[in-house]
Amino acid sequence: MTAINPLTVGIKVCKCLTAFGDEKETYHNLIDQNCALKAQAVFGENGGDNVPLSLCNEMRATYPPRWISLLHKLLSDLPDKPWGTPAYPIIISSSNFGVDQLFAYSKNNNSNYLKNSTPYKNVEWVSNEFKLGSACTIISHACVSSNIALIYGSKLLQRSHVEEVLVLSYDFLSPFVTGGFYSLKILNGDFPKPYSDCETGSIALGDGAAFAVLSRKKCDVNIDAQMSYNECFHMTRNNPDGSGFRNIGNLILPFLKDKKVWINGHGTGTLEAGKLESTLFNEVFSGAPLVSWKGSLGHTLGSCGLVELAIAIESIKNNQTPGTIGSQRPCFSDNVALSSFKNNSYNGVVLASNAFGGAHAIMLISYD
Amino acid sequence: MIERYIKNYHKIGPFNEILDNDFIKKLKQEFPPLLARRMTLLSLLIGNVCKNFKLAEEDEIVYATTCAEGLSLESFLLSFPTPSPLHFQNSIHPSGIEQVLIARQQPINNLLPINGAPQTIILNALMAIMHTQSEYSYLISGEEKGNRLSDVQITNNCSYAYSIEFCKDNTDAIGKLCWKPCSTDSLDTVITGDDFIKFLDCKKELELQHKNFGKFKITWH
Repeated sequence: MTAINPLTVGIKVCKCLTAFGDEKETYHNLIDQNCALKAQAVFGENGGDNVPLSLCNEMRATYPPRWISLLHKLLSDLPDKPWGTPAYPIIISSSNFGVDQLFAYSKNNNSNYLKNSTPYKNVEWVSNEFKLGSACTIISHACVSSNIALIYGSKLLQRSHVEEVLVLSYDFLSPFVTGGFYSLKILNGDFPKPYSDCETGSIALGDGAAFAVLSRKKCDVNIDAQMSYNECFHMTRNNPDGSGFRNIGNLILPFLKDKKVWINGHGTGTLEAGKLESTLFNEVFSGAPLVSWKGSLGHTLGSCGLVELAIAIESIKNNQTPGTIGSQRPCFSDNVALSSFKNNSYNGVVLASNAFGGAHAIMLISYD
Repeated sequence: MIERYIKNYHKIGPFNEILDNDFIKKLKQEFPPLLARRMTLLSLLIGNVCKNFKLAEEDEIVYATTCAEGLSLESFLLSFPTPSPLHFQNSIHPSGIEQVLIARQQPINNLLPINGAPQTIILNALMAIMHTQSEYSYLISGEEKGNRLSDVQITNNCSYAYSIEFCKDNTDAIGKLCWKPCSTDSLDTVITGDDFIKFLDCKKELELQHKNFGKFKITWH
């Protein structure tokens, strides 16, 4: 078996945008146990049942897209480097890209919407908007998109001609994706009432975007190890024997060494996956506290890994980790932290995401 | 200079026409009937070019497609206001390769699904192969011919799939891929996925260069 290269990199900058605002605003709202979710029409301006969504602005089909001002807000803090050149390559990840524009085109045939209608056209349009170069890789792997982007960005940094890598991820909701999840019957139509009676559990969705600048130099916060694992058991279910969660946990465990960690899990609200994640991580990581913030922010889909990394870094800076909002006891296992807790005694964080197809991604970050 | 040896490759297509039911039925015979019923055309084509792989968990797959499950995308959009869960599911990248791996119950550690413009996706995919760390890696790519949305380049205008098996060891290799990562001042080579699959049949030497991706050379033994 090939020895695993942990792909250690420094995180020079990491910022995010959610319905609460930037990573600082998001963090403080989570500490205050605020919920960004609101019951809103699943098809936006086209109506439909109410489902829990957290939106940065109104979900409407517009050109220019509703999300471009949000990306401007996020990228206003982007360090000034020749991004998109071979020495400063970009990786853009999403599970949505400009699919809101494609959906709008399918309704009214306005050719303006075609400019963002495919992932590569969307990336070209965004790159032009922000004057980014064309040395760009586009990655889309459902809800582990940004994690896979971080892994690939770390690989690029192994080449001596690459100085830094920009990983940018964005997922803005539209009827395409809210309608899709609605069709799977896993959005909580009774929100804000709890969904405890729903057999399979329920999720909420949210807008989210984030970027990270990766460096081969050691930074205040570093990714010590990151890897992925694809169960390929079923498209919409994890292997009930928990092997997916056990395997991804065991892949990163050797790199923890004697670190004391807390864990940001995936925790979308689906019961089977939640039970597997919490019980298996309790076992593999010996009871390390486990939190999820999706009960407040919603699931930010392909960008969730990078959005939640930015929030985890804020948690480190503030010595306090937000608890798991939107949950109540009994939990599946004792490691689930419902309330916020002081994290001064910890020196590492494990962040895990998973996706359709049983795709898993995990990273260990450490800090001085 | 970074090298990978080509152990094998498989291809199917390209097909400019809509594939007939008998042909699709033959593709489906390679999968359990209950699963095959729900599989997309692209996944069936990918399944065909991957059927002889002895995939190990520590191998790496680079999966490259520009339009992905175009037919599912078209069907999903048409299904509103009662969105179809099957077409939604199938339209989520990287469904094409995942349907095959799931049907064959083949877990894998590293799956890198990339998208990109037709003119650069091959270069991006080859660069991704050069960053794989495991002994064996696979480049798997394909497109499926769409219907109404192919007129506006949202879905592809032909169907095909191919797979190339790479190894760090040159035993029994049939070819070699070399890469110089540095940028070059020469004109950028443009090669689309639709062109690349035709190149695989010719088995001629191929040189590709691009300011963003460096210089690639494929030679055959």
